[in-house]
Amino acid sequence: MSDEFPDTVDQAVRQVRADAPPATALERSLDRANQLERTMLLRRRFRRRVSTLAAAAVLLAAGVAGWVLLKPFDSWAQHVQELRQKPWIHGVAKGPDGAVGREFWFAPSQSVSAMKAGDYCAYFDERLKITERYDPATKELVRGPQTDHDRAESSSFAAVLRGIGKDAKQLDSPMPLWDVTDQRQRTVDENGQRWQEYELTLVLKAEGPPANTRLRWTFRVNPRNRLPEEIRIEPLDGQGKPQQALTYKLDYPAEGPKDIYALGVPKDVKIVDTVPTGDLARLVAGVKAGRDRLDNYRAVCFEYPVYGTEAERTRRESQWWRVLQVSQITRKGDKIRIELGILQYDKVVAPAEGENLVQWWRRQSYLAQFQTIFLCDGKEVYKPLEGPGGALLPQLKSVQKVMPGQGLEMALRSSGRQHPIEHYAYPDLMVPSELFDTQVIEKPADGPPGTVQIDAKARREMAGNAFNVMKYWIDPKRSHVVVRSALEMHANGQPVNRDSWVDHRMEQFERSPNGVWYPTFVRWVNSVGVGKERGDQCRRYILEFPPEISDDVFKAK
Amino acid sequence: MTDWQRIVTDHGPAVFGAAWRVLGHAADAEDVTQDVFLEAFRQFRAQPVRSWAAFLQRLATCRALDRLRRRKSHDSLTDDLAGTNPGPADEAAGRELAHRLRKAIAWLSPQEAEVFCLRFFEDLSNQEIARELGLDPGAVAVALHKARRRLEGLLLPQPEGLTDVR
Repeated sequence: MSDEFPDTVDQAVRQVRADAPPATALERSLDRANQLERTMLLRRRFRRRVSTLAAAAVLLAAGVAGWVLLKPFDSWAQHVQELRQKPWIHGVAKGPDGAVGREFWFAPSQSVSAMKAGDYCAYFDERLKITERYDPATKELVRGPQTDHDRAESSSFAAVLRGIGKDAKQLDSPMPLWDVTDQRQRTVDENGQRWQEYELTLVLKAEGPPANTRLRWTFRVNPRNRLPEEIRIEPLDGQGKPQQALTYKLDYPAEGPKDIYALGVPKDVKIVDTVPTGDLARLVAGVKAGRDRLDNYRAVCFEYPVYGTEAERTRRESQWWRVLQVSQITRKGDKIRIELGILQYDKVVAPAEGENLVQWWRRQSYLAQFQTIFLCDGKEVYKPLEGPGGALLPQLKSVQKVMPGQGLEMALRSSGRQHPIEHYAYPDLMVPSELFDTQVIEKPADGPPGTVQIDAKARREMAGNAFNVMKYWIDPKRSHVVVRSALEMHANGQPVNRDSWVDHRMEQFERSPNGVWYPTFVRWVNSVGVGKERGDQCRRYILEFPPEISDDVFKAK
Repeated sequence: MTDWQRIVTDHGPAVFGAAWRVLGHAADAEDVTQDVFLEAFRQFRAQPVRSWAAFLQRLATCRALDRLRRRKSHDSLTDDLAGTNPGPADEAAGRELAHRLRKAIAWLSPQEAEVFCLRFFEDLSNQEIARELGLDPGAVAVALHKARRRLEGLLLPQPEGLTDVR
């Protein structure tokens, strides 16, 4: 083997082969394998006996005994637990030729859903109150405000799933405009597996003569985890007989489509936008959606001042990578780690003109030593212990528990908030609020072109550490990214002047793999130096979007 | 001892070993072994098997690779090493290398991964692999060559802190 492979692969293979399997794990495996025969034999005997007993008592006894005999091993119980935490529900229906005919995705916790039938796609975002539909015939993507019907569809289906999860005696209609006229539940044994089925007969609501349009929905549920695994939809004819069924097989992936483009809509498609842009609530929701939808990423940030003469400013800009301190941010959903690092900048090799900065940083990153200043693993927030003199230690301590989805929010309130890119591009706008008079300016005279401005003024003078004026220039056509923010804060009784403003300008942008815009350069205008030396504090971000980021990155080791 | 118990006794260690070599994780290897024997039990009841050794070896390797690929969706190639047990430096380095190899295998195509594991973890010859997979020996050699080249690239030494490489 060593003749065939270079040393590294050869060594790795030898190591794998030399690593002996743990004896206790092997014994357990063999023991379980031997039990299979006995378990399967007992199931067959039990079923024969069950068929001769009264129905109600049998179902109960079979349920209990079957559970005892098929007692899940630890890993199966864990798998069930994992299934329950999957945020997406995905259904696929195939046509007679076996090709995928229709698909749907539904994420109750994110209030989004999507459907695809051939090239026709639709994406429903309840948070933004926007529905997008792509018509392959016209090759147009039409964005419009969510209708009441769209909202009702989403909540109806969610209600049915909740009912199934709670083993409800009766379910509501899964679709608005349809009434339930009959429903039944039954237990089905098929191919050695037991299912619970909910069958609903639905009739289309209509005024006047009795409606003849009827459907039958059957949910097939796995009784072990109470998750539907199949939905069968059958139109019924006038005699109540089912016509050709559409059967969706369900699965529960961790990820789903983040926008309509993920369904295959071309990114350069013509957009017909009928969503009014002057709506404050929609703008605020849009910024929040951008924050939530930004792909999982690893980022490094080089922060440096730019001030002085023109020549000095040019030099500082050109050597942006020669900084002592860098920050590193890793985000996966609501898990986030913020680290500060010391960089041996004298050993850094400058990037070449046009060089891919992600690859460049991979070669330089060993020159930085990082210390975590904030960590959220999705459940708890951790901060470093402090040593003598307030020095930060590598060890982390838990300081707070958080609800699901709050990790990023906590990060953006922490002392490390100025490091993640979301702080600039998708901040918490803090409006609408009773403390502020807020207006939306659709075509602001100042600010970047193509933006809509939110202008918020405090109704009364705020405390010295709070903003009196907040202005955000938002680009609704680029993921509602904030292109500029200007926040005014002054000590009570002090005049408002140029130095009272925190003016961030995002000057360069790129798009993440999922189409979310983010800045790669942030300039805090007029924030450093004095007098003629007054200048800007700049941040240059290098983001990469690995297909996978291990959860181990977010462990508080 | 029943026929089934004999199968488990004779081939159980090899099944577990195959899963262990691919996964390097006791709990995962146990799960895969359980799945393999469940599938094998159905086969045992349904129809005769020409060679239980070959059947189980291939099934264990395939299921272990499936598991490894599912695990890939939660891991990247270069992180997740901080949790390995500290120990003598050589041991730790060896374990790290094995760990990296397993992760790299997850990035191979399914056929390349299976061929590689059957050849170098299970010591099957190219001819035996060809017979089990229904390929000709030339195709097996090509798959091995491709696997080697890809693993070479994936296992190139990286400076500490380097991010994901494919």
